[in-house]
Amino acid sequence: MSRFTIGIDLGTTNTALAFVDTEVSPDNPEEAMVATLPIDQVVSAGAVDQRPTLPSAVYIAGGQEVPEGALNLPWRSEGRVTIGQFARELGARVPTRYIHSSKSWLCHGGVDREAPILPPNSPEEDAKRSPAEVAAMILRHLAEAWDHNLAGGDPALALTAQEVTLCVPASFDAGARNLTVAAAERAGFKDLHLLEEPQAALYSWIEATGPRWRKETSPGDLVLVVDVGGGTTDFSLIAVSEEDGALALRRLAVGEHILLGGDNMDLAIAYGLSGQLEEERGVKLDAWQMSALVQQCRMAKEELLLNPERASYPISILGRGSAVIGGTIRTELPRAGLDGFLLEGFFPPCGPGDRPARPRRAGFREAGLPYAPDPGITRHLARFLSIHAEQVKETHPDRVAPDGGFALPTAVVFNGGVFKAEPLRRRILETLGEWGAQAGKEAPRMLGSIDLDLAVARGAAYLGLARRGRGIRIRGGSARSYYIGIESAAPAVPGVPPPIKAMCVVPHGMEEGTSVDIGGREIDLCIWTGEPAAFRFLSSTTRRQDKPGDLANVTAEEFEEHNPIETVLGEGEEEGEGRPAEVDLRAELTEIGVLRLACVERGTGKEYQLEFNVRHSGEE
Amino acid sequence: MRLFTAVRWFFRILFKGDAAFAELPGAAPKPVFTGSTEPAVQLLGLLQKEGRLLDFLNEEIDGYGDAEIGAAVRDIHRGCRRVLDKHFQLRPVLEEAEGAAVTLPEDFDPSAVELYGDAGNSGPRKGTVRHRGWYAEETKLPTIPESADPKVAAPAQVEVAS
Repeated sequence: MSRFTIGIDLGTTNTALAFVDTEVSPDNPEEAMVATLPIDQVVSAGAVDQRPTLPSAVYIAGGQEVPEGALNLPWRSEGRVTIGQFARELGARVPTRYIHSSKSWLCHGGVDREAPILPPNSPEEDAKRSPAEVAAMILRHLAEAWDHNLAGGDPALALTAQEVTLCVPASFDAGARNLTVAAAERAGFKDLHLLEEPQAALYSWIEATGPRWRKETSPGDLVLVVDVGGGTTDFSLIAVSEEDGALALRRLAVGEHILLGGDNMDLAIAYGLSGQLEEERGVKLDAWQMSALVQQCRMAKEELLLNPERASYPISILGRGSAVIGGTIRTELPRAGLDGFLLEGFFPPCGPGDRPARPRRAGFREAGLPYAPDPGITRHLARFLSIHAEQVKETHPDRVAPDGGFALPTAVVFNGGVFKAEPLRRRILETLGEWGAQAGKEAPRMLGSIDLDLAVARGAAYLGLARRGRGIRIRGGSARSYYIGIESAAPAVPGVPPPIKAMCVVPHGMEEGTSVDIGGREIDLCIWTGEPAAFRFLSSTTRRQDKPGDLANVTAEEFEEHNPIETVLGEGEEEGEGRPAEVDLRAELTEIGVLRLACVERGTGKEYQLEFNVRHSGEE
Repeated sequence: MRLFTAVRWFFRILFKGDAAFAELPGAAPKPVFTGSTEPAVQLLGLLQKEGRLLDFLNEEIDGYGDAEIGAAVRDIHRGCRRVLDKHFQLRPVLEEAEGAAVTLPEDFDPSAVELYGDAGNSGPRKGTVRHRGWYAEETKLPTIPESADPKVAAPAQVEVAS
């Protein structure tokens, strides 16, 4: 067993690493010492410094724009690629060679995630990398920084030799999870586990609270984790119960993938202000000034949200040339403006029956990220609590509104940098309180405080200990049920695709480290050998009743379709000489947390791995 | 022999830091990080980069109103302050508050404390703190790439047409 347990938060905007040294930790895991690794990174040309987090930003130099040696790292010379603080600065200058938010692309089924597509819309072909490769690059940087500081040349202490828990959004589907693991394996990691970020936040709260946490929660508690990161919004419901006289934690439900986060907020404020400037004064900002404005809006946001007594925050964008005063554009962000942009735009008051606006169905879609069409995080929350009400009712009937319409948590854990702002936490708590009042329930309380920048990494490092039997673990299994699409026998109608039925292959709650076989007479799957066979692949976060082999009608409400999965049976057999082969299906959720699907040929028992197609299916 | 090697490496690492490893046969030399040979210019550069101080000081400000200057100075102040915070550890020379009475020892350091009024010629001196002074406890300027021209305080900026 490795000496350290490691937690890595591979965030959309920032990456962090926390660890526990099992040799110095006391036997009581609840007093475990979780430490974070200050990460070496280039901070300016030719200078390296340690920072608590590593911006998940990559810059790939063309060759001449930085002086020789500017990107060197303490452990090796580097001429081309820089990751972290300085990459961000260079990216503001040369956006076509700058890759950021790559994690948001990792779960974008509409693009080939293993093809060099980032930065998007950049003409610089040599600077392009795949979303999966960028994840591997960032992980490699972490490994190098760790080894340089802590391994001292001992291979047993190298980061890749430690037990590593890598966090992913709870809403990541099987494809994105598998890609993340593949990227980590490519970076050399051997002992890997995946953990959902909201769970990591709760672990971090347990770790930060110490043994006292058992007094601050009680059986019957329903904990809502609201995790608004740089790029994604992630909800989870975790139930506290008593089993064999001890507290037990079970993750009941996770939210859908909502591409909406702190970065969107800074941009919203900046675009709002620049629009005002253009309208009122006819000032048009260039790209460089715009990025300066976004930076200032971030500062203005933090300052105004942290100091409720401030009425406004002055914003000045200094002139582009050497005339500082002459060229300065002055404006200010008034509190009312911030409230309008943030509280009303992203956290609008709403009722439990409100729903986020549905995506518009447009004929064309820009080849960009599929951002959530509705920025109202509270409306997404209303939907989340409503679609999981039925499930909550089974274990916590008193936490569901009398009409059964929505579930109400007893406690809330906040995670993500934007929640440093008390007004945003308050807005969520007040909204939940109002919904509770409507249902005759008490308002939820906020559970303690955690380090909002490092909680996910810390919680993941703590879980490493728990996995060794030295701490509590949240159980939950697969947050989604998975299906393959089966075309139903129906008369062909021109222009109407044959309706498909979804056959469950992975039930909701399937535990890690287990597998399930789907076969027998009821299921008649037959594929031709020697040619690719593709299955349509779907998942649901809400259908919990389906058992493996069950068939369901596909509705847009309940199902999400992913890229198809495919395999080739009878490798080596000549094309055209194919024969029909009867197959059963086998689904395995590995200890690591990745999903493996395979076809098993009935006659021979041979297993054929079904590959998640990361390529664009072309029929969105 | 092993002990000798260990001791020798101990001192090499002690005196040369990571550069010692560059002497390891077979190992790729690790990059060396060096400070600027023109630290004064480098400091100007930092103040310019973060706070546009050179531009500001070189601008003719007579034509502008106080409000315009005030607005620009906020940003300049914020930026230059960042440079101070990041690269210097400053503390007052005297811990006493301004206006407080202070007794200077006979052997006070005249480079650290300036006397005003009746300087006297010996013995402990009693007086009032008018300014507490600043003492740069630590200076930590960033390293720069070896190939960089140390006399460049701020690079010119050219927007390349595509």
